[in-house]
Amino acid sequence: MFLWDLVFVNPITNALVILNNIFLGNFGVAIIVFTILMRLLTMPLTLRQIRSSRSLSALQPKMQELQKKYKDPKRRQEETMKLYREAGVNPLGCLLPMLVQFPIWIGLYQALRIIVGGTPESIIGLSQRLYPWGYIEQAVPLENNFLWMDLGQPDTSLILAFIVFASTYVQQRLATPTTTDPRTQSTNQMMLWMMPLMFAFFTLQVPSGLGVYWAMSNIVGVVMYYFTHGPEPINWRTVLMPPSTAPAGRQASRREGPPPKEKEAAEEPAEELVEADQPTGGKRKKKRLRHGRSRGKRKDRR
Amino acid sequence: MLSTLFLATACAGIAQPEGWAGPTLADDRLVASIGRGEMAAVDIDDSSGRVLWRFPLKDQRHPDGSKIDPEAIYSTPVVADSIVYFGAYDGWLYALDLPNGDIRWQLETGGPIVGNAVVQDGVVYVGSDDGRLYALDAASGQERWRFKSGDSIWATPLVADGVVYVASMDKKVYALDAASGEEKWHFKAKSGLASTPVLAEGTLLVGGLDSRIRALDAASGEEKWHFAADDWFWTQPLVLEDSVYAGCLNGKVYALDVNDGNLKWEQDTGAPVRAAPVLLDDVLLIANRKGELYGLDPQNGRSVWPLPIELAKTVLSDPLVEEATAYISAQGGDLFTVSKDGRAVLLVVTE
Repeated sequence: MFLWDLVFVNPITNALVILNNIFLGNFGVAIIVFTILMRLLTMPLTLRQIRSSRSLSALQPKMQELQKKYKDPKRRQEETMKLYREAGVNPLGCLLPMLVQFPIWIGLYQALRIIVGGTPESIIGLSQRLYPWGYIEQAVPLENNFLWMDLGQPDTSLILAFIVFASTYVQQRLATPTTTDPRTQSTNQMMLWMMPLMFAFFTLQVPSGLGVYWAMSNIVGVVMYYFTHGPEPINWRTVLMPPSTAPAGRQASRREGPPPKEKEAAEEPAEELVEADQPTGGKRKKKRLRHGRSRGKRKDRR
Repeated sequence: MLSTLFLATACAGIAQPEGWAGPTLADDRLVASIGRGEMAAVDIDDSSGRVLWRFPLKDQRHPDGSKIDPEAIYSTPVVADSIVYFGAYDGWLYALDLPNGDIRWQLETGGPIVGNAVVQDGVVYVGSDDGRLYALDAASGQERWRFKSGDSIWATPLVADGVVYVASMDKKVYALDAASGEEKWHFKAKSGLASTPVLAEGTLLVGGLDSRIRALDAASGEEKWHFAADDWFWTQPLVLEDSVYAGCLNGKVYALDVNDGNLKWEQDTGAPVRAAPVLLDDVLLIANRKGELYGLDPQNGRSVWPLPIELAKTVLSDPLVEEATAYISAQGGDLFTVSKDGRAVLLVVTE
């Protein structure tokens, strides 16, 4: 626990207090700026996670084929792994970046709890976390009020809970990969509503400083999506309509708009695999092969 | 992912106030908070620590009809003319009859009360988290005057020679006229102040969250000297002859020369010290947050007891010394007695 505090909780706590000083003692602004900075810092991981998630999504049709073809679980597993290998996809690729970010999130939760706790005991606890620098010490006590909220108390006005719900929904809606598998689609549908509801519920239970962090983190996530995927996917129809049950290809083209480089790169391996199995796909295969050296090499290996 | 988030959220619940009120002795009864948000009178003549009354009772209510729930009590009760005065985290100042615990009067402030009330010449002075210092008639609770500072007042005011000295989280120490509440002077520190000041021959000593103990001229508020540590001072300093003793949240106890602030000695207790140092006969008693009690020689800081007493409870309240016994209230409510030779006895166990 000592190491955990030393590496995560204490540096985050002090960084938040420093930001509080920079932004004239407004701790709400400090949380917002810190969230933006953290999202920017972990952006490479987030992008990698998006790429991996899309690559896996693109492999769905092929995986369904494997499931139909091989009834023996062991064999199916082997073939699935082979498929991953051939497509150059790491199934843990979308989990690893998320796992790396978890300590930062949890550290931030704990830091916020310590800073905005507001009780005399939590203030004493804060003293054990702050570095003995005059610049940091002069921030104490921190101002807990931000807009209509006491950052140390849950926001009972429901406004923050609604913002968290809406922003989580939008981000979730944009990030949910398309799939043709009815079971996965059903799970995605459930998660699309469950996650925002859960976070809205949590917002009503925890200090509103955490709610501000969640809302801001989601908003930054949506903005990042805008910059990585272009403006077209973000429109009210896309965001408010539940994911359609239309075929994956059509749905993907509606939701994802013009093919950004990143998306194209992520989907390439799967398309290539599908095409390789098609005896009449020669013309299209030829066209696809003009892309990139790496694919050429992979093709050669096959 | 969901389960991890749930776990993280569960760990990040709202911090609950626990309270750290110390005990007070009056008419052979010990008045102390013996449970979260509960005040009680204990018969000290009874070796089993018989509880004489408790507050609040289930049916006790505020004047507006709402149920009394003190939430937590940080304010050590004070007794004057058989009335017990203490503030609570619910923002109310309560005046109870010492014999039976009945409510004499109650007054709501604009925020939680953390510091102790002080009664002097028929007036109760108490600070509140709403940033105000209230001066009230001790018999009726009627307001005499109020003074607004720039932030929460968590420190206990000090009243001496017609002047009220109070430290505020707005980083200032104020000297106010006790009769009118008018400001005489103020001194601005570098950070919030939660420590109760102490007066020693025209010198006001106060610790701060800027990790400094300061000596101020009580008449003008000018700084005479300061001593800087590497963590906050939240304790009320103790002055004995030409030495001032102060516990620090870095776990150390410092003995300073009261005239110039020079360090005489320091002793590390290993855990934050919030409780005020007290003199138990000729032993300097220090209680740290872990519930370890150190008996030190005030002259050189050496340990008088072979080992510290371990109460195995969080101790943040100021000990009370009566004759050759110290009474210590642990967080949660357990009451201990400690003798000069380093023996601790559990007087009351929280139910």
